[in-house]
Amino acid sequence: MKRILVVDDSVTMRQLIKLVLMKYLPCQITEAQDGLDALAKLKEGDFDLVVTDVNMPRMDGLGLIRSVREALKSTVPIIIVTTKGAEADRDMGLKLGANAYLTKPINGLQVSKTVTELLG
Amino acid sequence: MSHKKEKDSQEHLPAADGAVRAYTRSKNFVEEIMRENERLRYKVFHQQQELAGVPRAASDSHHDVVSENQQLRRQLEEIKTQFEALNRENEDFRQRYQEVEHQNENLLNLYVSGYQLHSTLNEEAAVTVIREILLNLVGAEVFGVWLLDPGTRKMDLVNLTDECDLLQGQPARLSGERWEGLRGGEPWFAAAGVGVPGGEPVACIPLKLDERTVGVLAIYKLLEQKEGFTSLDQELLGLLAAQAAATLIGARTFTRGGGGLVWDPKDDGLGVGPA
Repeated sequence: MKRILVVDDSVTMRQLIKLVLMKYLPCQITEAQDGLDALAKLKEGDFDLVVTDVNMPRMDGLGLIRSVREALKSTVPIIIVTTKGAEADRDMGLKLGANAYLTKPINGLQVSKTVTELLG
Repeated sequence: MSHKKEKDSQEHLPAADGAVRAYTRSKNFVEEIMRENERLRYKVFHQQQELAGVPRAASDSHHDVVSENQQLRRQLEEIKTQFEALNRENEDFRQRYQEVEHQNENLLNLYVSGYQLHSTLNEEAAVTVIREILLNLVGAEVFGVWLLDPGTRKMDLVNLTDECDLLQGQPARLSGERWEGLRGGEPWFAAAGVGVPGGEPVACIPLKLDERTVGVLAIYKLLEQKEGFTSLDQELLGLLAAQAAATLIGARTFTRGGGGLVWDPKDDGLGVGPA
Protein backbone atom coordinates (compact mmCIF):
# COMPACT_ATOMS: atom_id res chain seq x y z
CA MET A 1 0.00 0.00 0.00
CA LYS A 2 1.33 3.42 -0.99
CA ARG A 3 2.09 5.97 1.71
CA ILE A 4 1.08 9.51 0.86
CA LEU A 5 1.74 12.72 2.79
CA VAL A 6 -0.92 15.42 2.33
CA VAL A 7 0.25 18.90 3.33
CA ASP A 8 -2.28 21.74 3.61
CA ASP A 9 -3.15 24.25 6.32
CA SER A 10 -6.84 23.83 5.47
CA VAL A 11 -8.46 20.87 7.22
CA THR A 12 -11.20 20.93 4.60
CA MET A 13 -8.69 20.60 1.80
CA ARG A 14 -6.75 17.84 3.57
CA GLN A 15 -9.95 15.88 4.04
CA LEU A 16 -11.01 16.39 0.46
CA ILE A 17 -7.65 15.35 -1.00
CA LYS A 18 -7.57 12.38 1.34
CA LEU A 19 -11.01 11.20 0.20
CA VAL A 20 -10.20 11.77 -3.47
CA LEU A 21 -6.95 9.77 -3.20
CA MET A 22 -8.52 6.95 -1.21
CA LYS A 23 -11.30 6.73 -3.76
CA TYR A 24 -8.89 5.99 -6.58
CA LEU A 25 -6.11 3.94 -5.02
CA PRO A 26 -5.50 1.94 -1.87
CA CYS A 27 -3.21 4.15 0.17
CA GLN A 28 -2.27 5.19 3.65
CA ILE A 29 -2.58 8.95 4.16
CA THR A 30 -0.63 11.01 6.66
CA GLU A 31 -1.60 14.66 7.14
CA ALA A 32 0.63 17.65 7.83
CA GLN A 33 -0.58 21.20 8.40
CA ASP A 34 2.42 23.08 7.00
CA GLY A 35 5.89 22.66 5.54
CA LEU A 36 7.70 22.25 8.85
CA ASP A 37 5.24 19.62 10.04
CA ALA A 38 5.64 17.82 6.72
CA LEU A 39 9.43 17.94 6.90
CA ALA A 40 9.38 16.37 10.35
CA LYS A 41 7.12 13.59 9.11
CA LEU A 42 9.29 13.00 6.06
CA LYS A 43 12.32 12.58 8.31
CA GLU A 44 10.43 10.06 10.44
CA GLY A 45 9.28 7.73 7.68
CA ASP A 46 9.29 6.86 4.02
CA PHE A 47 6.59 8.18 1.73
CA ASP A 48 5.78 7.28 -1.87
CA LEU A 49 4.24 10.65 -2.67
CA VAL A 50 3.78 14.15 -1.24
CA VAL A 51 0.78 16.33 -2.14
CA THR A 52 1.31 19.88 -0.94
CA ASP A 53 -0.35 23.30 -0.97
CA VAL A 54 1.81 26.40 -1.52
CA ASN A 55 0.34 29.07 0.78
CA MET A 56 0.92 27.85 4.31
CA PRO A 57 2.12 29.42 7.56
CA ARG A 58 5.62 28.74 9.02
CA MET A 59 6.96 27.03 5.90
CA ASP A 60 5.20 27.24 2.56
CA GLY A 61 5.04 24.56 -0.13
CA LEU A 62 7.98 25.92 -2.12
CA GLY A 63 10.16 25.97 1.01
CA LEU A 64 9.14 22.40 1.68
CA ILE A 65 10.10 21.27 -1.83
CA ARG A 66 13.46 23.03 -1.56
CA SER A 67 14.18 21.34 1.78
CA VAL A 68 13.09 17.92 0.54
CA ARG A 69 15.28 18.09 -2.55
CA GLU A 70 18.32 19.86 -1.06
CA ALA A 71 18.46 18.99 2.64
CA LEU A 72 16.84 15.55 2.61
CA LYS A 73 18.20 14.70 -0.87
CA SER A 74 14.93 12.92 -1.45
CA THR A 75 13.48 12.12 -4.88
CA VAL A 76 10.00 11.42 -3.56
CA PRO A 77 7.43 12.61 -6.16
CA ILE A 78 5.79 15.89 -5.13
CA ILE A 79 2.48 17.27 -6.44
CA ILE A 80 1.62 20.90 -5.81
CA VAL A 81 -2.09 21.65 -5.39
CA THR A 82 -2.61 25.39 -5.13
CA THR A 83 -4.89 28.33 -5.85
CA LYS A 84 -2.01 30.03 -7.69
CA GLY A 85 -2.72 29.52 -11.37
CA ALA A 86 -0.20 31.91 -12.96
CA GLU A 87 2.34 30.46 -15.39
CA ALA A 88 5.23 31.99 -13.41
CA ASP A 89 4.08 30.23 -10.23
CA ARG A 90 3.83 26.94 -12.11
CA ASP A 91 7.32 27.36 -13.57
CA MET A 92 8.75 28.20 -10.16
CA GLY A 93 7.18 25.14 -8.54
CA LEU A 94 8.39 22.77 -11.23
CA LYS A 95 11.84 24.37 -11.31
CA LEU A 96 12.25 23.80 -7.57
CA GLY A 97 11.60 20.11 -8.06
CA ALA A 98 7.87 19.47 -8.00
CA ASN A 99 6.80 16.68 -10.35
CA ALA A 100 3.33 18.04 -11.09
CA TYR A 101 1.44 21.27 -10.60
CA LEU A 102 -2.35 21.25 -10.15
CA THR A 103 -4.62 24.18 -9.44
CA LYS A 104 -7.64 24.49 -7.15
CA PRO A 105 -10.51 23.87 -7.19
CA ILE A 106 -9.28 20.33 -7.56
CA ASN A 107 -10.53 17.93 -10.17
CA GLY A 108 -10.66 14.39 -8.78
CA LEU A 109 -10.03 12.72 -12.14
CA GLN A 110 -7.04 14.94 -12.81
CA VAL A 111 -5.60 14.25 -9.36
CA SER A 112 -6.04 10.50 -9.74
CA LYS A 113 -4.48 10.56 -13.23
CA THR A 114 -1.46 12.52 -12.01
CA VAL A 115 -1.00 10.30 -8.97
CA THR A 116 -1.27 7.14 -11.07
CA GLU A 117 1.31 8.48 -13.53
CA LEU A 118 3.75 9.35 -10.77
CA LEU A 119 3.33 6.15 -8.81
CA GLY A 120 3.43 3.97 -11.92
CA MET B 1 -7.38 -91.50 -109.16
CA SER B 2 -8.01 -91.34 -105.54
CA HIS B 3 -4.36 -91.92 -104.87
CA LYS B 4 -3.44 -89.03 -107.14
CA LYS B 5 -5.81 -86.77 -105.27
CA GLU B 6 -4.29 -87.79 -101.98
CA LYS B 7 -0.83 -87.15 -103.38
CA ASP B 8 -1.85 -83.70 -104.60
CA SER B 9 -3.36 -83.00 -101.29
CA GLN B 10 -0.21 -83.96 -99.51
CA GLU B 11 1.80 -81.74 -101.86
CA HIS B 12 -0.48 -78.78 -101.13
CA LEU B 13 -0.46 -79.15 -97.27
CA PRO B 14 2.65 -77.07 -96.57
CA ALA B 15 1.20 -74.22 -98.59
CA ALA B 16 -2.03 -74.34 -96.59
CA ASP B 17 -0.17 -74.31 -93.34
CA GLY B 18 1.66 -71.26 -94.40
CA ALA B 19 -1.55 -69.57 -95.33
CA VAL B 20 -3.10 -70.49 -92.00
CA ARG B 21 -0.08 -69.19 -90.16
CA ALA B 22 -0.15 -66.04 -92.19
CA TYR B 23 -3.85 -65.72 -91.52
CA THR B 24 -3.30 -66.26 -87.82
CA ARG B 25 -0.50 -63.73 -87.68
CA SER B 26 -2.64 -61.28 -89.57
CA LYS B 27 -5.54 -61.98 -87.28
CA ASN B 28 -3.38 -61.49 -84.21
CA PHE B 29 -1.94 -58.36 -85.66
CA VAL B 30 -5.36 -56.97 -86.43
CA GLU B 31 -6.57 -57.89 -82.97
CA GLU B 32 -3.54 -56.22 -81.45
CA ILE B 33 -4.14 -53.10 -83.52
CA MET B 34 -7.75 -53.14 -82.44
CA ARG B 35 -6.76 -53.44 -78.76
CA GLU B 36 -4.25 -50.67 -79.20
CA ASN B 37 -6.90 -48.63 -80.95
CA GLU B 38 -9.29 -49.33 -78.10
CA ARG B 39 -6.65 -48.37 -75.57
CA LEU B 40 -5.83 -45.17 -77.42
CA ARG B 41 -9.48 -44.30 -77.82
CA TYR B 42 -9.94 -44.86 -74.10
CA LYS B 43 -6.93 -42.67 -73.38
CA VAL B 44 -8.18 -39.96 -75.73
CA PHE B 45 -11.57 -40.12 -74.10
CA HIS B 46 -10.05 -39.63 -70.65
CA GLN B 47 -7.80 -36.84 -71.81
CA GLN B 48 -10.79 -35.14 -73.40
CA GLN B 49 -12.65 -35.59 -70.14
CA GLU B 50 -9.75 -34.11 -68.21
CA LEU B 51 -9.38 -31.23 -70.64
CA ALA B 52 -13.06 -30.50 -70.39
CA GLY B 53 -12.97 -30.73 -66.57
CA VAL B 54 -10.06 -28.32 -65.83
CA PRO B 55 -11.69 -25.06 -66.94
CA ARG B 56 -14.91 -25.97 -65.16
CA ALA B 57 -13.06 -26.61 -61.89
CA ALA B 58 -11.23 -23.31 -62.28
CA SER B 59 -14.50 -21.58 -62.95
CA ASP B 60 -16.11 -23.24 -59.95
CA SER B 61 -13.18 -22.31 -57.78
CA HIS B 62 -13.29 -18.69 -58.98
CA HIS B 63 -17.00 -18.58 -58.29
CA ASP B 64 -16.45 -19.94 -54.80
CA VAL B 65 -13.76 -17.35 -54.11
CA VAL B 66 -15.98 -14.51 -55.33
CA SER B 67 -18.86 -15.79 -53.25
CA GLU B 68 -16.68 -16.15 -50.18
CA ASN B 69 -15.25 -12.68 -50.79
CA GLN B 70 -18.74 -11.19 -50.95
CA GLN B 71 -19.70 -13.01 -47.79
CA LEU B 72 -16.58 -11.75 -46.03
CA ARG B 73 -17.27 -8.22 -47.25
CA ARG B 74 -20.79 -8.45 -45.84
CA GLN B 75 -19.40 -9.73 -42.55
CA LEU B 76 -16.82 -6.94 -42.55
CA GLU B 77 -19.56 -4.35 -43.10
CA GLU B 78 -21.57 -5.88 -40.27
CA ILE B 79 -18.52 -5.84 -38.00
CA LYS B 80 -17.83 -2.23 -38.97
CA THR B 81 -21.39 -1.27 -38.17
CA GLN B 82 -21.22 -3.12 -34.85
CA PHE B 83 -17.86 -1.51 -34.10
CA GLU B 84 -19.23 1.97 -34.82
CA ALA B 85 -22.26 1.25 -32.64
CA LEU B 86 -19.95 0.02 -29.86
CA ASN B 87 -17.79 3.11 -30.25
CA ARG B 88 -20.84 5.36 -29.94
CA GLU B 89 -21.98 3.38 -26.92
CA ASN B 90 -18.48 3.57 -25.45
CA GLU B 91 -18.38 7.33 -25.96
CA ASP B 92 -21.80 7.61 -24.38
CA PHE B 93 -20.63 5.56 -21.39
CA ARG B 94 -17.45 7.65 -21.16
CA GLN B 95 -19.47 10.85 -21.03
CA ARG B 96 -21.85 9.38 -18.50
CA TYR B 97 -18.92 8.16 -16.44
CA GLN B 98 -17.44 11.66 -16.45
CA GLU B 99 -20.78 13.16 -15.47
CA VAL B 100 -21.11 10.64 -12.64
CA GLU B 101 -17.54 11.39 -11.58
CA HIS B 102 -18.30 15.13 -11.55
CA GLN B 103 -21.41 14.49 -9.52
CA ASN B 104 -19.42 12.27 -7.17
CA GLU B 105 -16.85 15.00 -6.80
CA ASN B 106 -19.56 17.48 -6.09
CA LEU B 107 -21.10 15.20 -3.48
CA LEU B 108 -17.64 14.67 -2.01
CA ASN B 109 -17.12 18.44 -1.85
CA LEU B 110 -20.51 18.86 -0.28
CA TYR B 111 -19.89 16.08 2.20
CA VAL B 112 -16.55 17.54 3.28
CA SER B 113 -17.99 21.05 3.39
CA GLY B 114 -21.02 19.99 5.40
CA TYR B 115 -18.87 17.93 7.74
CA GLN B 116 -16.56 20.87 8.36
CA LEU B 117 -19.35 23.43 8.63
CA HIS B 118 -21.15 21.42 11.28
CA SER B 119 -18.01 20.59 13.24
CA THR B 120 -17.94 23.90 15.10
CA LEU B 121 -20.11 26.29 17.06
CA ASN B 122 -17.45 28.95 17.09
CA GLU B 123 -18.29 31.85 14.77
CA GLU B 124 -14.67 32.55 13.86
CA ALA B 125 -14.00 28.90 13.07
CA ALA B 126 -17.21 28.72 11.03
CA VAL B 127 -16.12 31.75 8.99
CA THR B 128 -12.73 30.10 8.42
CA VAL B 129 -14.43 26.97 7.13
CA ILE B 130 -16.63 29.04 4.80
CA ARG B 131 -13.54 30.82 3.49
CA GLU B 132 -11.75 27.53 2.90
CA ILE B 133 -14.72 26.09 1.06
CA LEU B 134 -15.17 29.12 -1.19
CA LEU B 135 -11.48 29.40 -1.99
CA ASN B 136 -10.53 25.73 -2.32
CA LEU B 137 -13.69 24.04 -3.51
CA VAL B 138 -15.50 26.72 -5.47
CA GLY B 139 -12.46 28.66 -6.67
CA ALA B 140 -13.58 32.08 -5.42
CA GLU B 141 -10.72 34.53 -4.82
CA VAL B 142 -12.54 37.65 -3.64
CA PHE B 143 -15.75 37.32 -1.70
CA GLY B 144 -17.77 38.69 1.21
CA VAL B 145 -20.28 37.20 3.62
CA TRP B 146 -23.05 39.27 5.16
CA LEU B 147 -25.45 38.27 7.89
CA LEU B 148 -28.66 39.97 8.91
CA ASP B 149 -28.67 41.54 12.35
CA PRO B 150 -32.20 40.90 13.63
CA GLY B 151 -31.93 43.90 15.98
CA THR B 152 -30.94 46.57 13.48
CA ARG B 153 -32.43 44.77 10.43
CA LYS B 154 -29.20 45.55 8.59
CA MET B 155 -26.73 43.26 6.87
CA ASP B 156 -23.43 43.07 8.77
CA LEU B 157 -20.27 42.19 6.89
CA VAL B 158 -19.06 39.02 8.61
CA ASN B 159 -16.03 38.40 6.44
CA LEU B 160 -14.32 39.88 3.42
CA THR B 161 -11.61 37.84 1.70
CA ASP B 162 -9.68 39.96 -0.76
CA GLU B 163 -6.00 39.05 -0.80
CA CYS B 164 -5.45 40.79 -4.13
CA ASP B 165 -7.07 43.98 -2.73
CA LEU B 166 -9.51 44.15 -5.61
CA LEU B 167 -12.14 45.98 -3.57
CA GLN B 168 -9.68 48.10 -1.56
CA GLY B 169 -11.73 47.44 1.57
CA GLN B 170 -14.90 48.78 0.03
CA PRO B 171 -17.17 45.99 -1.17
CA ALA B 172 -19.85 47.28 -3.53
CA ARG B 173 -23.08 47.74 -1.71
CA LEU B 174 -25.84 45.44 -2.73
CA SER B 175 -28.76 47.51 -3.82
CA GLY B 176 -31.51 47.92 -6.36
CA GLU B 177 -32.81 45.04 -8.43
CA ARG B 178 -30.08 42.64 -7.36
CA TRP B 179 -30.88 43.19 -3.73
CA GLU B 180 -34.58 42.73 -4.38
CA GLY B 181 -33.76 39.49 -6.14
CA LEU B 182 -31.76 38.31 -3.15
CA ARG B 183 -34.53 39.33 -0.80
CA GLY B 184 -36.77 36.99 -2.78
CA GLY B 185 -34.21 34.21 -2.24
CA GLU B 186 -33.00 34.00 -5.83
CA PRO B 187 -29.27 33.53 -6.49
CA TRP B 188 -27.64 35.45 -9.30
CA PHE B 189 -24.59 34.51 -11.39
CA ALA B 190 -22.73 36.53 -14.02
CA ALA B 191 -21.72 34.85 -17.26
CA ALA B 192 -17.99 35.19 -16.54
CA GLY B 193 -16.10 35.12 -13.27
CA VAL B 194 -13.69 37.96 -13.97
CA GLY B 195 -13.83 40.63 -11.33
CA VAL B 196 -13.69 44.37 -11.95
CA PRO B 197 -11.85 46.61 -9.45
CA GLY B 198 -14.39 48.30 -7.22
CA GLY B 199 -17.12 46.72 -9.29
CA GLU B 200 -20.21 44.66 -8.79
CA PRO B 201 -20.11 41.05 -7.64
CA VAL B 202 -20.03 38.25 -10.20
CA ALA B 203 -22.32 36.10 -8.06
CA CYS B 204 -24.75 36.73 -5.22
CA ILE B 205 -26.17 33.85 -3.24
CA PRO B 206 -28.73 34.33 -0.50
CA LEU B 207 -28.03 32.54 2.78
CA LYS B 208 -31.37 31.08 3.70
CA LEU B 209 -32.72 29.62 6.89
CA ASP B 210 -36.27 28.24 6.93
CA GLU B 211 -36.87 29.77 3.49
CA ARG B 212 -35.96 33.17 4.88
CA THR B 213 -32.98 35.16 3.59
CA VAL B 214 -30.76 35.82 6.59
CA GLY B 215 -27.55 36.72 4.81
CA VAL B 216 -25.75 37.10 1.53
CA LEU B 217 -22.66 35.57 0.00
CA ALA B 218 -21.20 37.77 -2.73
CA ILE B 219 -18.34 36.63 -4.96
CA TYR B 220 -16.40 39.41 -6.68
CA LYS B 221 -13.72 37.46 -8.49
CA LEU B 222 -12.91 33.85 -9.30
CA LEU B 223 -9.41 32.36 -9.36
CA GLU B 224 -7.43 33.08 -12.53
CA GLN B 225 -7.69 29.49 -13.77
CA LYS B 226 -11.46 29.35 -13.31
CA GLU B 227 -13.35 30.76 -16.28
CA GLY B 228 -16.84 30.91 -14.86
CA PHE B 229 -19.51 29.15 -12.86
CA THR B 230 -20.61 25.72 -14.00
CA SER B 231 -24.10 24.46 -13.28
CA LEU B 232 -22.55 22.18 -10.65
CA ASP B 233 -20.85 25.18 -9.01
CA GLN B 234 -24.21 26.91 -8.82
CA GLU B 235 -25.82 23.85 -7.30
CA LEU B 236 -22.97 23.41 -4.81
CA LEU B 237 -23.10 27.08 -3.81
CA GLY B 238 -26.86 26.90 -3.31
CA LEU B 239 -26.55 23.86 -1.06
CA LEU B 240 -23.58 25.32 0.79
CA ALA B 241 -25.38 28.59 1.35
CA ALA B 242 -28.15 26.84 3.27
CA GLN B 243 -25.65 25.02 5.49
CA ALA B 244 -23.47 28.09 5.93
CA ALA B 245 -26.49 30.11 7.07
CA ALA B 246 -27.43 27.52 9.68
CA THR B 247 -23.84 27.27 10.91
CA LEU B 248 -23.29 31.02 11.14
CA ILE B 249 -26.61 31.67 12.91
CA GLY B 250 -26.01 28.71 15.21
CA ALA B 251 -22.47 29.81 16.06
CA ARG B 252 -23.55 33.40 16.59
CA THR B 253 -26.43 32.38 18.83
CA PHE B 254 -24.19 29.99 20.75
CA THR B 255 -21.47 32.63 21.21
CA ARG B 256 -23.87 35.42 22.16
CA GLY B 257 -25.64 33.11 24.55
CA GLY B 258 -22.41 32.80 26.51
CA GLY B 259 -21.34 29.58 24.89
CA GLY B 260 -24.29 27.67 26.33
CA LEU B 261 -22.12 25.17 28.11
CA VAL B 262 -18.96 26.03 29.98
CA TRP B 263 -16.05 23.83 29.01
CA ASP B 264 -13.07 23.29 31.27
CA PRO B 265 -9.99 24.03 29.08
CA LYS B 266 -8.05 21.31 30.97
CA ASP B 267 -10.71 18.77 30.18
CA ASP B 268 -9.57 16.20 27.61
CA GLY B 269 -13.11 15.92 26.29
CA LEU B 270 -14.15 12.88 28.28
CA GLY B 271 -14.53 14.69 31.63
CA VAL B 272 -14.11 12.51 34.66
CA GLY B 273 -15.91 9.57 33.11
CA PRO B 274 -19.48 8.26 33.05
CA ALA B 275 -21.91 9.77 35.57
